[in-house]
Amino acid sequence: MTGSAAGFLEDSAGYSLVDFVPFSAEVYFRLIERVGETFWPLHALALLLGLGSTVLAWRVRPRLACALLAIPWAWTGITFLGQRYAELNWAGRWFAGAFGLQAAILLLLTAIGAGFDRTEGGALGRQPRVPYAAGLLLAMLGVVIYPIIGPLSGFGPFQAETFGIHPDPTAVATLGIALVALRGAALWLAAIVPLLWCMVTGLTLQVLDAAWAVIPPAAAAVALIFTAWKSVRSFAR
Amino acid sequence: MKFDAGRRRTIKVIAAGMAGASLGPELLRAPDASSMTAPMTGTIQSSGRRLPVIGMGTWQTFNVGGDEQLRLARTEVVRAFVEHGGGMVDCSPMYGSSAAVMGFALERLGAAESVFSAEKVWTRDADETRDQIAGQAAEWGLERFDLMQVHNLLGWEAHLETLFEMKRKDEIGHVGVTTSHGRRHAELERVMERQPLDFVQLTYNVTHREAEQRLLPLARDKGIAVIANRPYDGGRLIKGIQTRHEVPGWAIDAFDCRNWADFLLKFIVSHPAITCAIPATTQVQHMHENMRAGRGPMPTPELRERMVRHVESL
Repeated sequence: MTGSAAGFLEDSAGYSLVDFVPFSAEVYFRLIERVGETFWPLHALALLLGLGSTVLAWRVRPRLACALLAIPWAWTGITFLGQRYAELNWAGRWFAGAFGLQAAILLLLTAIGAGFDRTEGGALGRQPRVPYAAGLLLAMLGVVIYPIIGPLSGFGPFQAETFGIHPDPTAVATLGIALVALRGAALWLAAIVPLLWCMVTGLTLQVLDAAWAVIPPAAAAVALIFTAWKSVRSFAR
Repeated sequence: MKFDAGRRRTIKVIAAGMAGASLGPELLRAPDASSMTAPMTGTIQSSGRRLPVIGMGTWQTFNVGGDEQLRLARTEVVRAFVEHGGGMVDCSPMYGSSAAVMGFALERLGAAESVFSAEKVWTRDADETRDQIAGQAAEWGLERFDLMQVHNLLGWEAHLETLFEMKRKDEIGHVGVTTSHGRRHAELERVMERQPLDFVQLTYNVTHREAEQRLLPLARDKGIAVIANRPYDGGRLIKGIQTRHEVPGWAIDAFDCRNWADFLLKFIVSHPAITCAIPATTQVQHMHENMRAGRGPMPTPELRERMVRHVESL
């Protein structure tokens, strides 16, 4: 940890939440827009990747789904957080590192091949149904719904946050896909970084007065509940 | 960097008015009758230098990263600041890209000599002091800061030792320490009593006046210049007050108070211990309002008490 980062943590008592966000709403939403403009039309490929990962997880190809998910985590960690967000916030380097770690975790799980849930989720058979349904809904929230939230809130088309391009939909969709594709310790391992990011970005968006600030923490809460549910049910069997 | 708030500034403002055709619409509106009066200045007791009582902060407002569009917009804010006479600009390594954006603006405007550059050391690692200062100087495009402060008293013992040594070698102009949000006042008081500081920076505004009890009298006794940060309480104070209330008529009559920026800033800088206040903004029009608050008549001690009672009654 650098002296500045440690100093900040040591020095943080007594601040209000707003004092932890060193940029304005204008700057953050311009960042969303600039990244959207820069990588257009990569969005289409990213959406296909998100949909593909969801379908693969659902149709008993969890290992491949997990491997594919590593790509957007590495990409957004480098291009959004490391190269741009870190200019605005010293913590951006740490967030970028966490996204890289998440990509490594997903690749590690793929390589080990353990912890995958090979239940036919689509058949909704004997296995717990609700966690699968919740996982698919979270995945759809991240991949399909997220890009229309910004424009519906009055922002421009390039401010549409897209899975694989921007971190928030990437984290939300990953929570859902992991809920479908993984079980036990592997599920928890894959969920830690996305859960933490959803809390960080939720608090940031709250400070910035974004209308959708509640969505990432709400998605994290849903994921946490059903991850616990799935773990308990698995343990009980 | 040399700073002279006297005749050179006045000439610049007049020249800006004469060159009106080349200036933007905001600047054409800027030099009204009262803004052409000399800005009130505060004295840095340790060096005898004078500073306009209104400076500018950069927390959040200048942290725009590499966004060219926003960098150019902030350059216009600095342009307005300089055209009003300039003064202290305060920054910190904690403020992300603010130092780089300020460097961008000053280079574009060729205005490095129009600001009194105030930076901070923000690390608990005593070995990083000089490296961090050098890094911030590179971002600003400066060789020497007019003021170097220890941010929020973090690791102040070791940093002050280095900073006083740098001051002796004329590598920095002045030395100070900062706090904000009313925190660590007891520790700040001890530092003020024991160290030969040129500046302290603390939070002082019409709703946060704890510093009046001990710190501001101590600063006067010790000859320490005082920078008031968070004059609008991070923006919440002025946004909350101006959307619901008109400026009271007695303030308009008494000291030509035209808006809430006038009211809030004049309250701060009329305290005899305050050297300057550092409001931050992203808006050119707000910069004009801020800078105008440093000119014209100021409230008397009796009026200052009435200002407090009025704000408390809202």
